[in-house]
Order: sequence, then C-alpha cells, then structure tokens
Amino acid sequence: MAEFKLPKNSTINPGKNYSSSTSGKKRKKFHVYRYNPESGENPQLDTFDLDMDSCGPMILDALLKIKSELDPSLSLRRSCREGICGSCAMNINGRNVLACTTAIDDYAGDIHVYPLPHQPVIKDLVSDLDQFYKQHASVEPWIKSETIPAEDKERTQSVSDREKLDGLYECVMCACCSTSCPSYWWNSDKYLGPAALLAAYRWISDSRDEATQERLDELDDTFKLYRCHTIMNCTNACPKNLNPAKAIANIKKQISTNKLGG
Amino acid sequence: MTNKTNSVNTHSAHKGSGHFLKQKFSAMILIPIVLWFCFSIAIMPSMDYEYMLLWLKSPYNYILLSITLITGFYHLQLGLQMIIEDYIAEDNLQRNMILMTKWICIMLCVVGLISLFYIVLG
Repeated sequence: MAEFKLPKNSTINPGKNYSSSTSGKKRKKFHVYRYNPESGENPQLDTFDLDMDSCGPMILDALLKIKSELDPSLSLRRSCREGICGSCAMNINGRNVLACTTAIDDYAGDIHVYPLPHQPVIKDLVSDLDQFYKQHASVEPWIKSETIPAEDKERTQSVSDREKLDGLYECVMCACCSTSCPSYWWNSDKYLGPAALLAAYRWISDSRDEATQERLDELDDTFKLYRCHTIMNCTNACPKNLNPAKAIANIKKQISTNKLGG
Repeated sequence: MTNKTNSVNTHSAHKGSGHFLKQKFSAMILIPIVLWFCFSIAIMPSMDYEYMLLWLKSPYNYILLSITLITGFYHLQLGLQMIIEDYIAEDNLQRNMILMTKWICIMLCVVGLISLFYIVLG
C-alpha cells in the first residue's frame, strides 16, 4: 500500500535551540530538519534564531550562516548560488524551491526547512537522488541518429525546429518537480517522474533525433508515463518556470495520435 | 525518510495508451449523455411514478439510458483501476482488486440493464 504515515523511525522530534550571538534588531527563526543515520536516533527539528542584519538575503545565505557560525555539522548541498546547478533544492515552508534563489523576505513568519519530500535522507538536508538520476539515464537523454553528418559539418536544424526545444532543455535536474508529485511519491520505483519525462520529451521533440518512435514506444507503459494524472505540482514547483506537465501531456498526445493512425 | 528499492522500470508494457484512450473516449460520450440526463430531469413537469414510467418507456429515453449505464460503469471501472494501480503496490493484490472491481462493475451494469428492461416491458 501507499505510505500515508511516516515510519516510526522517521517521526520528527523537537531539537536544540541556537541563537546567533550578534543582537541585531531584525531577527528570524529557522526551523531546520536534522537527521544523522549514524546516530541511530530519530530526525529532529533544530531552531536557529538568526540576526538578519548580518545575514545575506537568500535562504541559502541563512543556512550557510548557520553552518559557519552556529552548527558546522549541518549538511546541505550547494554550489553555484545562482539557480544554475540545482544542488540546493529543498522544501521550504511546504514548497520545493532552490534555497539560493528564494529570498528570506518572501516569508513573513518563521521559516521551516526540510529536505526534498519522500526521498531517502542521507544526512540533514541532503536527500538520496540515486533513483532520480537512474530514471533520467533510463530515458537515454542523448541524440540517437543513424545519419552520419557530412565531414566537418554540424547536424543542422532550422530556427523553428530549434525553437521547439525552448522550455525543455533548461532543466537543471534539481528534482523539485519529481519530489513534489504525489504519483512519484507512491510509485517512484515504476513511474519515471516529471523531470525524466521532460528530458524524454526534449529528445522526442528534437528534429535531429531519429529515434522518436522508439522513444515513444518505450514510454507507452501504464506506470512509466501514465501515472501522471495532471496534478500540475511539477509545473508549480519548477524553479526554472518550465512546464513538465505540458511535456507529459504532449508525449501522451503523440502516442495516442500514433495509436489512432493520425 | 523512505526505504524504496532503487530500481528503474526499463521494460515497457506497451499498453498504457489503450487505457488512457478508453478513458478519454468514454468521458467524451458521457459529457453529452449526462447533460441530456440532467436536462431531461430538470424540464420534467412531474416526478411522479406514472410520469417516470411513461418517460422510461419512450424508446429514445430507454436507449440513451442504457448507453449511460454501459458507458458510466465502463468509465467507473477504468477510473477504479487507475486508483488501485496508484495505491496498491503489491502485484497479486493489485491484480485481484482490479479483477474484482471489473466483475462488480459488470454485475451492476447488467442488473441496471435488466431492471430497465423489466420496467419498460412491465
């Protein structure tokens, strides 16, 4: 059965309280999910009271301030701090976002920071995305073509064909979309999820790719594709403003058109 | 934390689109037919037994109601199958539940059609 309740060892306990020593007028509380599998203890929610006058404007700045000033054991992924690498994806006040492009001032009250939902947790805010990456690889996100281009020539594409890829290739693989999808929560072992399907559609739409039919045949599966019930959480969550739900609908449309001989 | 096994479904059943299309087509049939049904009920001058019997005995209404029953139960079964596939992960239980809902829907549809037939004949 689908899991509707957290397992006993995942129940979150109240954690420690920390306060930044500087006493600025503007303060904000951050409640951060902490879990260390090596400790054998349940996860806990630590509270960090930060002085905002000495903190950068983004959630990632606050988390790095916590790590450098209050608790160096806090684990999180981050790299580019400008929404390009997709590393710092996490669940903030109930929404999957990139911590580096989300402003602290966007939230009026306390801020609750959790790892991406329904994924195994490696430590604190670092979730295990192994399955997510395997699913991405399973759609074979690379060009497949039998035609050999002329020597020293590129595979050309018209301007209008190139435009068809806009809104599809910009995915940063942050997993915000897939981990916000209830269908993915219940069936992540079988359903490919919005991110992998967006990548699949990027290659289905590419005029230079010659494996369109093969790709569509591979996706014609009750679980791989048709677990999408157009809930649209993926589109809502995407920090790059992409529309995976539309890409999935287009894949279904193409398969249906082929089936009906259109 | 969840502990799902990390495996990727690499095999394609090549049958998801069939269910998807059946669901869309049955929904398309149901839209006008349900509108017709609601409209017919709304404009009825009386809801008493005699009038309802007379309404059901019209061949036009009888045929449309039979189509509503068949399409409605077919669409219901397709929807239930999807819910079961979503929430019941265990293969055997899933297969049996789908089979059970299929038979219940067929049975209820047949009971409905027979009842309609008897009302019209009676």
